[in-house]
Amino acid sequence: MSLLFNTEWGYLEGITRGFKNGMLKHSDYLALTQCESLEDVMMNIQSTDYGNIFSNDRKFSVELIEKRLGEKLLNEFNYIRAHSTDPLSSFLEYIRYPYMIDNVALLIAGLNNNRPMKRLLEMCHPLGYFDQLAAIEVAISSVELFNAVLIDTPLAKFIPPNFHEETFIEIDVEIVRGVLYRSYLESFYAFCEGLGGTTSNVMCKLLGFEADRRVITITVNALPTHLTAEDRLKMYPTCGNLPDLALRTLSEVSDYDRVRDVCNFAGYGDMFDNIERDTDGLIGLEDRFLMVEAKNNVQSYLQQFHYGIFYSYVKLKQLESRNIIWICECISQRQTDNVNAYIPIPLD
Amino acid sequence: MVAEKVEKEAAGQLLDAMYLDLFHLIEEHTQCKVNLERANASGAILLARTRFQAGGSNSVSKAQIPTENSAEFNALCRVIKAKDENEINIERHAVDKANGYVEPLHWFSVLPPMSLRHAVTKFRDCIELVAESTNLQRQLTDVLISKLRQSVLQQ
Repeated sequence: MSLLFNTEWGYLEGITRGFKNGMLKHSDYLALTQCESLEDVMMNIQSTDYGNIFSNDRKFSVELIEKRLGEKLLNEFNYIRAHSTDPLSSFLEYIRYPYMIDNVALLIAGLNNNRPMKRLLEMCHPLGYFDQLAAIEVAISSVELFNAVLIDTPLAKFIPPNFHEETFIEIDVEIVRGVLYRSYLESFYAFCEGLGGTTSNVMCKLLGFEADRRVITITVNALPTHLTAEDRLKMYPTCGNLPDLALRTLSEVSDYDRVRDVCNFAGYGDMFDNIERDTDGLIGLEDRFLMVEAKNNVQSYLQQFHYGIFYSYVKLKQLESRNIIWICECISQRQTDNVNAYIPIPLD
Repeated sequence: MVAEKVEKEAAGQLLDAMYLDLFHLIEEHTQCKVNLERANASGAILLARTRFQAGGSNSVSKAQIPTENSAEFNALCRVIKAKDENEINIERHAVDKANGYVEPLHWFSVLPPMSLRHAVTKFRDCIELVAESTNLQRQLTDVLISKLRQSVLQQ
């Protein structure tokens, strides 16, 4: 695979490595954290690889900054997608599916509250946009919604075989989303395994971690709720490093210490150590996972001739965007004590 | 003459006590407002943190909040008059989905992350502080207008 990789995808790998080298460094983050207003932040961003993305804007807000950062990633992703051939094109489509799932969940929540479709479509993530998204408005009942949204769209292949229209009506949107995401992750894992070689090694490691993270996060978030063990198990992806016994145990635990014990046994005990208690609830388990995810994604660049760098680039760029938005929120809310609580990306 | 002097002294002491009350109330009221601002700011930054951890502004989004066209629901929290007519209290109802008492946290997620739960606690504290601030404000107005004015007139 590595000998023939460059004939089809060498240029795209080169350009993605170039994009990755242009990401914000530690010094850029330092400059951003010292800004006193959103205008300063925008000027600093324009002096980085992002370039002149705010040239036509006059009104400054956190939403606008987030939108422009997202547009930059979208342009880069579309460029790579337009120049790719199979199986890379299918791989890149797999990267888009989680954003499609999130967009569908957002539209369902918004339409349930009778919000106009036009405003909801503006709020959707651009990476997850697909043609049939607007067709959701036409559905007037949950059965039609099920058919319109999930059967006629690219998400159709992630619906489990035992998922019927009646199930869709009865259960919560969050659980539908959890089940779809599990199906997507397992499908992506199988696809990467099928590709073989370095792509399979790198991607299976990254997706295995993502699956385990999902299991642990759902378990911890479900502890104070009345979610049944069966519902929890439906949402747990099975393609991670946690064995089946651990998944069954986690679906039934009801306190935090038991979750910690199971994770200790499975090798994720470090995540629970010393979570700071004096930061007013700001730093938590999710931040630990984000740090490890960032490290794993940077390490995928140590190997060549594999698709993992495209996946890692999108993940790292999203994390960078979230870091910038966090800094902007701290500045706009005048709470600069917490401005350093972003996740540093170990690029150097 | 002596009786007049005694009366004046008594009135003066009463005024002193009134002013002391007034200053204590002003101090408590200001402290209450400072705590309110702090709790509100903590809640807002926790919402921003939820978006940061969950991966985007759509995790805590306007689209998830009911509008005037959404299904009706009952408020979990009401302001009621206390036994003492001049004070207000906060009355909280338990969550009971079947009877229309929905948990607002579930609009955003059935599996809310820790940061969102902390934000809920902070905003709940804000409501308690608003009620406390209102009661202090009423007491302040009471002392200022009715009692002080009466004392000055008596003098």
